Amino acid sequence: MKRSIFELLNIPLDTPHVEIEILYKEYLEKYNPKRYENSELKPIAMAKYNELIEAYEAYKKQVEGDNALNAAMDNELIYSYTSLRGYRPGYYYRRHDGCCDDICQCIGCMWVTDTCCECMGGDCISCM
Amino acid sequence: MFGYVRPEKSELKVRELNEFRAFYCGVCTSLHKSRYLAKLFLSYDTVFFALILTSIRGKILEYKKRFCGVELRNILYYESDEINLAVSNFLLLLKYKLLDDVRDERNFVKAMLLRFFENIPGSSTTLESRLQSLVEELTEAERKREPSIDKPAEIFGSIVALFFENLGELSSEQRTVLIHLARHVGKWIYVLDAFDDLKKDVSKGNYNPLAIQFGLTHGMDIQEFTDRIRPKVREYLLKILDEVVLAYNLLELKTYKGILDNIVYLGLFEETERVLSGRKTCKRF
Repeated sequence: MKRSIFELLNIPLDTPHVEIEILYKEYLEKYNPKRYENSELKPIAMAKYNELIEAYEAYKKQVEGDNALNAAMDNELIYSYTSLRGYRPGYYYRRHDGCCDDICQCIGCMWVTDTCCECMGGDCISCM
Repeated sequence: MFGYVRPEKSELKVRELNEFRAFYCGVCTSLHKSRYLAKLFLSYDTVFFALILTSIRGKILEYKKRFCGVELRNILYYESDEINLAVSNFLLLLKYKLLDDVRDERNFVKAMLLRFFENIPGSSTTLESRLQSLVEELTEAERKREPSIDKPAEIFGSIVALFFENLGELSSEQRTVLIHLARHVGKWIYVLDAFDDLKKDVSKGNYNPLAIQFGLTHGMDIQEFTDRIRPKVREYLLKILDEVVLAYNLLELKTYKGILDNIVYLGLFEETERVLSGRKTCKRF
């Protein structure tokens, strides 16, 4: 029985297209029969190399058969993944250790600053 | 038996390091149950065997916890058939190694230890008889003072490969690859061990294939000799490792691939350099 590219590369079925291509190239390099020139394992490497290429062709045909948009969407998906990779929900809360935690307190602070400034003859915020 | 097949720890992920430790402790725990004293001889090679077996079968193991008397804290370990198989093979090999040592050296402590291991059952009788004949062949080659390292290394490789032969459920090509891998890892271990023991063997007057192959004559400075043969031995070892890597690339591994990759691509090379330079520990931390 022919094995699919997912089985050969040992990856889950929903792996993005881009990652499959990267892995495919890596394995192609690994199984390259040129590396096995002087080895007893050459026939096995040869067989695996051909099997991999065949499986990849079949996979590509299937992807193109689905629709051409699919690959593009796939691309977009992976970029959105990568841009979000560093984001951790719940980690970026505002800190509560400053003097101006909410807006009222903040305005109050500015008012006091301005008053002090006026008293000393300066002007912090001219319209206040 | 020798502990050369180990990962480069600083390059492992922390998760993988934990998994590796759990495998190590798993092997130890399994020994704990069968032969307590064999723990003294525990080595990384058994762990490698268990890892490769687990990876090929594609199992994901679950952590278990127990109190370890040596480390004096709770440790995490794995428990599986693969680890038990690795341990039983290890015990079998240990028994023959001890038998061999006792015959050669007449070491009293080892003779005492052997009494604990004499009744180890092999996983199959054919395996045991073949192992026995190969060990005898190796002893014979060493006694005859074989002038080249190729032959004893080849025999030792066959011994290692023996344990991979009757693993069912593998396709024939995968088995060929695995045996090829095991044979070359065995060869590598043998040559590396010969280089490591060169100084000791020469001072004791024991057989060392490297000393004969590269023509160590009596009264020659051993340090000078080591320096002279180092490039040649390195070349020989790297040639073997090349075969190991090629065979490894063809294996279909499913789980714990990161650790095995680390061992084969980094650990073996690092260990080669370590032994060749004669250092006790790794250079990098």
